[in-house]
Amino acid sequence: MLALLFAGISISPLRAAEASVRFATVDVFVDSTNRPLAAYQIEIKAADPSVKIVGIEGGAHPAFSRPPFYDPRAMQADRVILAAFSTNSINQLPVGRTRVATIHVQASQAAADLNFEIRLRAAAGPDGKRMNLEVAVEERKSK
Amino acid sequence: MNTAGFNPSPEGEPKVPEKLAAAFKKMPRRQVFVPPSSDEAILRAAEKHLQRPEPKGRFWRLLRWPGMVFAAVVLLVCVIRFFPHQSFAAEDLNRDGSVDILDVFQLARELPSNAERLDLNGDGRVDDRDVDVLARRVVQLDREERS
Repeated sequence: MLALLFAGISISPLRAAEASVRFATVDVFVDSTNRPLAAYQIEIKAADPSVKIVGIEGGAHPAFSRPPFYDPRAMQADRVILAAFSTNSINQLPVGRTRVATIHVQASQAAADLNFEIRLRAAAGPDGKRMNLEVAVEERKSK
Repeated sequence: MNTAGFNPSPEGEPKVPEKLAAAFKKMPRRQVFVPPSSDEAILRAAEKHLQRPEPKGRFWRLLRWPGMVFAAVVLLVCVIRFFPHQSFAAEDLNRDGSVDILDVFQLARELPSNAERLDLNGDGRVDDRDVDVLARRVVQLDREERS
């Protein structure tokens, strides 16, 4: 009886802590319109400083399927610079809108909607010439 | 040919045709009287015309030196503005004033290479490791952008 009472007391704070934290998956999209994309560098910063980055993945297209370059100090931070390139031939590069990376974040329940500041640092086509991109992040809704 | 009163031309210069010279000699030699007042009027008009300065010429002469100095200054400003002297960081491989993923991309495209300037990790070789070194630099959170 005493053991059950003790277990009840110890589990309650743990469940309370878990309830205050949620994990979210945020996809990073770019749109190069009708031009092939060969390299990008994007800076992402959470508007809420309590949001922490806990994981980074590559994108959907095979040219960017590997995780991008990032500073390991971005883990458990609210800001990250992602960069990647591909030396594939032009017909093996993504064109148009594509997911180039995914960020896993930890957020408190109070931050219901995750907002991020996104800044395109650089992008280029296969010829290395600088180009402009539309960039966006979207929280992936769990099914 | 009778050339009395006629100075022969030096060799090589064209001469008056004989017929023309003969016609001039046949012309009556008349004295034409020009009144002194006419003479003076013509002389005064000639002096006035020769002494009057050309209005446009004087104006442009006054502006010549200041205009040249102004044009030189404008040219210098244009040269400085459109061809600025700029030093680039060693990692700025594409010389665009920024060290970013585009420099990493350029390095990757130039592999394999023996260029010493591309040996960013100083191991005596230019390979994927140099690409990784530069890539890690461009994504550092506390790196300031420098050219």
